[in-house]
Amino acid sequence: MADSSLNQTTSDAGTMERLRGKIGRTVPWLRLVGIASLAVAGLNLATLVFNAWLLPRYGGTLETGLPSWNFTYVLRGVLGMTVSILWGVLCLLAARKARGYAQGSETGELISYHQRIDNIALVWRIFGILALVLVSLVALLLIFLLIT
Amino acid sequence: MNERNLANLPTRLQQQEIGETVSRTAKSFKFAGVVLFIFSFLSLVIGVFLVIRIVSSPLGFSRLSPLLHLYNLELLSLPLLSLVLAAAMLMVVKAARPYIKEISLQNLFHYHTMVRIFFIVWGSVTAVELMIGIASAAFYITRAIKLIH
Repeated sequence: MADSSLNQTTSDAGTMERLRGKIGRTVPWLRLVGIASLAVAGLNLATLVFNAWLLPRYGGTLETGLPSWNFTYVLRGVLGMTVSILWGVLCLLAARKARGYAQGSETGELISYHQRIDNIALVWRIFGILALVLVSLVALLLIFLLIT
Repeated sequence: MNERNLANLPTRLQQQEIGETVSRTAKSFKFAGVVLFIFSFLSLVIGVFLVIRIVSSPLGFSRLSPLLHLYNLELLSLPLLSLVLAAAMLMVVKAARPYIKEISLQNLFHYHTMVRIFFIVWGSVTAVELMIGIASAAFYITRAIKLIH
């Protein structure tokens, strides 16, 4: 009985060691998502400023000639920037926790890391809800335009 | 086995706390994954339609400006990558199920394998999005300079 318990503990300790390694290898990807998301938010802001302010001011038009309310444009422009900033910050915070745990911190750090991942997932959920609302509004607008 | 690992094993209570968090995460990812999957698919259909419209314009494919080529690339690549991201998200949900049902370190390890894959996919998608964004920005800056002069 004691042997079995010791074997289980040894096996669990081995799994935790592998888990630390895995979480440690996730850190660069978390940082990549964080930094890239913040950069994407900056670019989205610059694009919005260019299209909404600079182009009309100097008499230019969108080169594509397409309506600015198509799915990809609305989703990227309106939601993208806000959500990208949130993801960027949360991923960098998660990377910090993950690095702490990988370097040998207590289990509390692992719990915090899971909470950060949960926060990231929550932002994804809010993004989904906002996208649904926005697309519904665009659909209603299209129906209204078609009727009138 | 070193002593540090034996001392740092999570207690049953801590594992349950992690289990509750993983359960919430899975619910959020399930909703977001389904929505992202539907929207990516719709965006891809609309993207294909728009690309066909642009390419079949009187100008012809070879005379399109670099910005329009980039726009075409964006219209097709981003929804496709988002589809992959949605799939990765739903895989995380699938990997979380065994840990929610039966709390064990082995299941937690498998969950983290999928979490890592999800972040690799997400990182790649964001990096591609960033590269396309930088390329577009270069064209926008050139256009802005021409407009101002």
